[in-house]
Amino acid sequence: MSKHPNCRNPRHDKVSRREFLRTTGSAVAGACAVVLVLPEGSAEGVEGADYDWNQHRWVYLVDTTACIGCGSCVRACRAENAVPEGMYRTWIERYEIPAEGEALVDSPSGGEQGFAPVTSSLNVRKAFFVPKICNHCLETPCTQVCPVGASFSTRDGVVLVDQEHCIGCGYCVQACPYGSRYINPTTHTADKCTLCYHRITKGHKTACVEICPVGARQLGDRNDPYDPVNEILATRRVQVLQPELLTRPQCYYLGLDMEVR
Amino acid sequence: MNPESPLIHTKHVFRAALLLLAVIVTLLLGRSLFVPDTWGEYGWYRGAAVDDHRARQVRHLGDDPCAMCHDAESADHSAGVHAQIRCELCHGPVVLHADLEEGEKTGDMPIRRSRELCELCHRELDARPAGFPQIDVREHLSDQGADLTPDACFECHDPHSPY
Amino acid sequence: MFPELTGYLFPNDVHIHWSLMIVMYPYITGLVAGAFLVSSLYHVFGREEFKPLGRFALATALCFLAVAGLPLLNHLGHPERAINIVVTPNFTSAMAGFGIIFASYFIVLLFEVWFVFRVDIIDTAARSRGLKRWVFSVLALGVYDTSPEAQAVDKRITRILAAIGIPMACLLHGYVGFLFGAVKANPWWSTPLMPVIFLFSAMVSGIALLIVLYQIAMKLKGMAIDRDAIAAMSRWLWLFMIMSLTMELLEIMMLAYESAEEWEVIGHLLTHQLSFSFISLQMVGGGLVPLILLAIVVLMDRYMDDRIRNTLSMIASLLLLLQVLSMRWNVVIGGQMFSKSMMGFREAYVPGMFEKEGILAAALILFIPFVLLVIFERVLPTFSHLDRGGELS
Repeated sequence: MSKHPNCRNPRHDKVSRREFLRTTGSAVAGACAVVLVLPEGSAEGVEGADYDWNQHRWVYLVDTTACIGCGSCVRACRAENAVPEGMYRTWIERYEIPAEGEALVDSPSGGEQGFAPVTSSLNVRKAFFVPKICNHCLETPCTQVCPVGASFSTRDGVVLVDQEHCIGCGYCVQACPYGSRYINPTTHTADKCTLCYHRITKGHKTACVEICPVGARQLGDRNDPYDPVNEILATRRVQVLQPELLTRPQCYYLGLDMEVR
Repeated sequence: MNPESPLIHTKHVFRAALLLLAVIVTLLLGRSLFVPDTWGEYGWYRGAAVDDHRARQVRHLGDDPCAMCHDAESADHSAGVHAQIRCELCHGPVVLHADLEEGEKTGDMPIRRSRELCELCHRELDARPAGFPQIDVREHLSDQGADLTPDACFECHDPHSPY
Repeated sequence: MFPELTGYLFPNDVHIHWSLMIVMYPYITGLVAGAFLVSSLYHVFGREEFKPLGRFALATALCFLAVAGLPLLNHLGHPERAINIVVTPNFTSAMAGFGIIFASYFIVLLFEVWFVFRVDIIDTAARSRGLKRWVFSVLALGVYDTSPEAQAVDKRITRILAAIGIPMACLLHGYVGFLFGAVKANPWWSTPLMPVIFLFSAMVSGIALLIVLYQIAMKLKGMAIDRDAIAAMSRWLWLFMIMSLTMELLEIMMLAYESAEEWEVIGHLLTHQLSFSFISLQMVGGGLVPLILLAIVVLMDRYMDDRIRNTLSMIASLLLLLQVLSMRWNVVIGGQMFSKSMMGFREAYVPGMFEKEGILAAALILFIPFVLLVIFERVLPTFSHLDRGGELS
């Protein structure tokens, strides 16, 4: 029972705290531990077991006008996915664009520990943050060049790397125009943002989307007619990175400036 | 073989060709030994790789597990301007702190009890959207008559419900 | 430890993943392709001036091909999974072609060497005793026919294999050029000229290698250096290097003329981070100088003393061997020294001496084929052809 007489949590009325923890905890832990053989799954009572990848098509939306550059997403991603030091599955770039002259772009440790004020004497008129992740392209140049079929796209639109099959040749890292990939120094394989596949297939959002304090990042499902992201993509002006390469990125941006690559 | 046949001096060629054939057949047959079991189920990749990714541990579990034990802080949090900020943003993933299955604490929650944490979001930067609450830390502290100490913010603000 | 960076690089772009090993691989397959071409000029097209070299060139190609896979295995994150390239090849990738192309070319070359040296293998088996006799009997596949008819058959098959081998050798090296040229993410690599540039510079390196090794081998054996062979190789070398240099320069000129965004980055790269390896080594010391030296050798052939011809072609060849290596370096390493942000550079990459993919490893890999060649020469004669009363193979 709650030690707060005014606590509004209805769960406290019915079940003891320990008992409740055990049941919800085990359901969550069970979802984490079980290896689902079929993406369509049929096991009862396990979180994510009824996930059907044919029902979803994941996209991502970044609102650069909202990003405050706190770096929480970078930290959350690193903690969620055990990303090795010095490698980044997501990062934040800061653009300081003066009235005259070159733009100043930086990303100190990917923005993981936030940003310090700029100490230049430029007359900066325009400045903003741009979060970056793997764009999970439809026409992936990375999957195209994988010699062994270790890099692939799932039916729900997520580009993944098979960590057991990858030979670590690094071709995909070279082929990605966005710098999204790296060679994991621990596993010696290619690695990158997985769109938190282990989370989104269990009804959660990606770690970066969950943690963003200002909603600059959003996960969308093209197959869900009620998804607000779809509404935005349909009615507002959106951009993608390096569109001329026709990789068909599925990470869309609002408020992208011409300086951003 | 007829001694006049032109093929009589090609025995070595046939031997070589046979050797080549044997090598190729061995390679082709041998290949299937190494192809992973679930290969090609969904495309030109190992089908089980999808499950490998799905099986990873979910580490950030949102605010609900926190509220179970920390109802006081949770209530404060929901009532203040930080209500939309996830607990795990400042405190890190809950799996570092509790074994939810057992309902037990397994370690201290990482938390930086210092001004630096607040500054990550609230230090004034020209790249931040103008409408977002941000301050020049020194200015703010001197306006309030406070010193520039590591926990200066906490003298006036409860991090769970600062405003 | 951390490289010095200028401008803005994507955080993952600060690392160079394709190291010195990836520079060595196209270099070695280039040497193979070039040496094979010289050998085929004799075996397929009957160019008599290459006859003294025909067998040696073939042996050189084989010895270098034997180590060509080593730099790649050394570089892979999981060399024990290298077999995946032939088990589950993804054919949209040029790199997947490696398995099939490498294996089939190796087979063609191996069989061609066998048909060319078959009579010598049989002779060695006949003259040996014990284990050596057994080994060579197996190598002869248990057939000991050295009659003129059998040798005529050998010659015909050699011709067919050498003819098949030419496009295959071109493919073996050309696919590497395609591998780089088809990466649209990297403007320094992405050009349709890349496979052709790679191929022609491969020919340059192979012919240059043969000029150097042939002269050294003849000196060591106290045999005469064939005048026609050197003159012919110098001619082909000059031709290929002109084409190669022309295309390399053409690419730069086009980029500079079109002056698109990539020129800002590439122009800066060539004049700063790569100024020594590109301008000094690839273009001037390894380009202009051998061009002039070979021009003298080729155009003044009639008036030239043999010794001067040998010396000039030797110097030109050594410079060209260095030039092709620096060209590979400039492409592979140069392409990783700027970020795909098109706004930043990292400092020059200096491979460590004792690193896994470092200088010592590269030197060792390059040293092995010479050892193999010496062993080969000891076992099977590449120069002292036995007169068998017929066409020598």
